[in-house]
Amino acid sequence: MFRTFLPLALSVATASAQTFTDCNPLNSTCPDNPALGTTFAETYNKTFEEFDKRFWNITAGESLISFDDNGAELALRKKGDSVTLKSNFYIFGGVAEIIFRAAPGKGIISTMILLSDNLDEIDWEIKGGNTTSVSNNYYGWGNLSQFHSEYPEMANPNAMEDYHNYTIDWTKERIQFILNGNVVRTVGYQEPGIYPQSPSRIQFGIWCGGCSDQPGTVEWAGGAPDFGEA
Amino acid sequence: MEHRPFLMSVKSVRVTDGVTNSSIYTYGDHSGHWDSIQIEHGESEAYKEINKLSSAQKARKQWEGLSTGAKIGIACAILGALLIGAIAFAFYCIKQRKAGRIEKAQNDAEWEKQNQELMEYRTMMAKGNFAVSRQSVMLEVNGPKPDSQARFSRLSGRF
Repeated sequence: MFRTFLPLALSVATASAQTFTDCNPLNSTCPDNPALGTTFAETYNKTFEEFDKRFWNITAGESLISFDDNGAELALRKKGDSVTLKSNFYIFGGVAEIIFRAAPGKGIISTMILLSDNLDEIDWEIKGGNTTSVSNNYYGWGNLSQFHSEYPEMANPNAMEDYHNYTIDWTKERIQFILNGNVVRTVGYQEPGIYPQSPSRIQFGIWCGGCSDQPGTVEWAGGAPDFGEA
Repeated sequence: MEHRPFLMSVKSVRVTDGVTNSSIYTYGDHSGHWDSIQIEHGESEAYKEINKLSSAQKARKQWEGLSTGAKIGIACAILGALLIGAIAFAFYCIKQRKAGRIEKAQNDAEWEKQNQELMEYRTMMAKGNFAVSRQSVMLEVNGPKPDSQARFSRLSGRF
């Protein structure tokens, strides 16, 4: 979703900050960020009826969420669908871990990110059509002209065939990207605007990159998915 | 034919803040620098909500997490305990009733005996004759007709 809109936004420079964050602290004085200050943990199964709204803001696709014995199922049924959950709390440094099985299918993107009010971002992204690797990334201040993606291997089973543990361990000194307990990447501290260093929410969900109007985004996502519609 | 939906299946989320016991983060300036972030300490709203969840809902979730067999076992154990309690109470009630009946019978007999002694005494008093044998008094008191008994009682005066 961010990829779809941010390039468009940056091309219209004045709109960039406002497209996605309610208030950019680089420009103005923004509301306080409520902290987590502890550990939050949930394991999903069919005893859940919905995500707990005290902790989660469902910004898209509430009707597309269901629960079963495996966990929470986020579904894309047609072009234009997306499901996004973002935490109400912020962390400042810390460890974020989500165990999930990515949606299969080219053009479909499953994501788990840390995102701050000034658009510092740390990502795990899985493209549904990629059966051999996943990708991680980071941005300072929403600046997409930076290219910091890496593609650690994920195969046998791949990201769509089984559940995997995607973890981000973030301190002032370094960011570690950890896959199933293995540190696959370490990024050292850099200046503000490049290295994420502001309080961030955790956000996860599924969106259709291949449904974008932007050809660059569709290509990046792996092509247009087949929803089976006539 | 509708295509099956594309599903992302999320098993769990676990997040630990880098700062412990923080309640609010604020930007001290517009630099965007790590060191410009101000931390207010105390119990955060999230911390309070997490600990609310711990008491009430965890018990419910624990119950729901039990297997059906376990739930049946617990229900049976509770019913069994109640049944044993009910039977024990019933036995106690029956025993007490029986003891009560015996006690009542004893009390009735005692009352009957004392009542008869009183009647004898009244008759003897009326006759002014304590030398008279008990048996003859009894004969007079328990006469063939109830009327005669009443007549003697009235004549005794004082009673």
